[in-house]
Amino acid sequence: MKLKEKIKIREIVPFLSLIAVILFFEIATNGTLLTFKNMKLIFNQAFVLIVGSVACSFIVAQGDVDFSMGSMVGITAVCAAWASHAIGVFALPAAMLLGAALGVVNGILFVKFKIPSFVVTLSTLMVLRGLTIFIAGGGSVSVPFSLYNYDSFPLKLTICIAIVAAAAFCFNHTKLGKWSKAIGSGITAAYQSGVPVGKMRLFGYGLSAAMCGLCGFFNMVRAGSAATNTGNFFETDILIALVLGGMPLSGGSASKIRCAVIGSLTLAILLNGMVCWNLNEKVQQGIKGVIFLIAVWLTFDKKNTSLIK
Amino acid sequence: MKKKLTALFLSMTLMLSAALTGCGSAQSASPEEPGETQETAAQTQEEQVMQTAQSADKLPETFKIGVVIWSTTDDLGGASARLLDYASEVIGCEMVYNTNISSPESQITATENLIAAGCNAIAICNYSDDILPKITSLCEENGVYFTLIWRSISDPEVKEIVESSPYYLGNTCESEEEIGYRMGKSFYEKGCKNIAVITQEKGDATADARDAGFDRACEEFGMNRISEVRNNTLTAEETTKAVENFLASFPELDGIFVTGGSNTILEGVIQGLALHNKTGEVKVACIDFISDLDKYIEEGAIDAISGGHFVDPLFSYMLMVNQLAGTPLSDQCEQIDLNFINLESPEDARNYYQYCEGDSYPYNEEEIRSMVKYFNPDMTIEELKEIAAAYSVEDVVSRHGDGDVEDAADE
Repeated sequence: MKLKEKIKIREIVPFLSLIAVILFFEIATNGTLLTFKNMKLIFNQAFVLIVGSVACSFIVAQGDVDFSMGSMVGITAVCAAWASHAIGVFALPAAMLLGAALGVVNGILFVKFKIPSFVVTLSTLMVLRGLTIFIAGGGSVSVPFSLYNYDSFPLKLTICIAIVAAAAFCFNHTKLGKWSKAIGSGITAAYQSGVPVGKMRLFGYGLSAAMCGLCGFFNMVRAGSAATNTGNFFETDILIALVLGGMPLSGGSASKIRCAVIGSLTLAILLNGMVCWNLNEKVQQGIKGVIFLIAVWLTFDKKNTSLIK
Repeated sequence: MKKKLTALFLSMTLMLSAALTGCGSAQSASPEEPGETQETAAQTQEEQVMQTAQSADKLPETFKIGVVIWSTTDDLGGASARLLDYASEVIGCEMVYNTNISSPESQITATENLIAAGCNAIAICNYSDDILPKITSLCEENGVYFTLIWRSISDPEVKEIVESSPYYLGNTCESEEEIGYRMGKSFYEKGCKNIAVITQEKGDATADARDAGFDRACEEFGMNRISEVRNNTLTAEETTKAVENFLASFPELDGIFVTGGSNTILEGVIQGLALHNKTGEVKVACIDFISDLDKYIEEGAIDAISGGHFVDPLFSYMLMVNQLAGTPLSDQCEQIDLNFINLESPEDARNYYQYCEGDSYPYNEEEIRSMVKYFNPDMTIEELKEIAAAYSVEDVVSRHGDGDVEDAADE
């Protein structure tokens, strides 16, 4: 009974936190937060975060992490920026394919060479950032003005809904999601039950990196360029969003796609709200840290402390 | 269980509210003053006249000015923010800073959030030219004026797009390439041949221009750029390690050029050299000022240093304030050129900190007001440019000095 109640608390707290944050900033900003214009803005800012954290959910559900997402976004954005001069919007699938290939490399290093995921992805974070600097020619790469049109609210909203719906369906109703959660709950049991652990891990990293390609493309059209520091700290934002959304970093059956969505929106609203409220920029980072700590405290399963595999 | 849940939620909300409320800035404090004046019946006529005069010292409306800047806590960013806050207090504006700018897309986000926060105008220290078309369209869509700080636009296509916008008011900038060249030349004059460089990752417009100027000097004077460290987030400790690596790998090293010494990088270089008894032997040239410069110059830890350009945003700010007040200084975008200040002796450094940065500001209340046409109808864009061009320690001392400059320097 007690365990069930604890699980319920963990499930409800992120949602209540999101509502609390919305209400607080709606009052603090004298109604600016929930204007249609500002909500569009928040969604625009949260778009890549939602897509990235939804994709990362498949990795986190398995109890693994991906610290290379920021660098994945960076390298795919820079490559897409170069490619966009030749192939226009087809730079998007090219970026996703490149991302998927790099993600599979991450997965192979993890699965075949038995290197822990955080070591692999920390290493690729640095390798890919170095490559990005090299490919970018040491600066930023501009994109054709015609691509600016793809930084559009309706397009992003459609893509976002499609990705979240597809991910939620796969996560809850297909083997992809069930196996991912099974691996997070107990890898030995999952393996003995016939779950293809290695393939699922490859799938997780491939999917996550492919979505980084998509994020890289949209970051690129949003900024009108891709630079050596495109995607900087993206992985940190993803982890913060997942934790704020109540995603257990130890993975397992408590993992939910909605955690990614709720967490991303909470983080985007926090960032927007603090500026709209004219909160001193010097304390904004501190506030983010405090909220992150509270979120971890409220949602972290203290009995399962084996976080990173 | 319900109690526990309620307690958790309430405690979280309370903590959040308390933290945020405690840290909130003093918003919209000034507009209350005229109201209070009217309501206080007991005030004497003389006091009322004085208050009327005071209110005439402020702009007719409290304009909200946003600044997209890398930080307001390092030496350069902090000094600039203090000066802008001071100027805003003098003329009655409100400042909002956004420092969440780790990448080009986050600069766009920062600008969007400042617009959402209701800023009437925004000053941007842009990462590169490439993001400016996007920023231009954002500002146009929302009717927000914008300027660039510490930056000029080098890409002709981007320049044309940005300068054709009625919302772009102009920029303030320094000759970054030239200062890089001068730093390189100073190494040559001190007999250096093999120089290591500590700079930003490629893509930062300012660091790249300084780098290019330094490379030009190396080529012209036959010096070698033997190694480099590129990192946008260097700390003092990391810089010290980098210097130790330079010393271990290149015994012939006789100079270190720091393209941006703010944010404790220069302190790291000085510490690294001191730890290996190389102070004075390996020459150090740096752009950006840090505190305790007089001490470092006296000890021979720094051989050439230029900076003092924290006043840069003030001139872009004046372009925006004049426009918002309905008294634009120009009907087209303007570029304001600012000089770097070179400190060559401990006395120079002491004068700089006594009169320009620190407890005092390079422009007093009267001078700040005089830059706004609303208060000073004679102000023109040419005059503002002249004020910027004249900026130097000598200029500030001549305006604010009390005649005992040398005494102060000798203390």
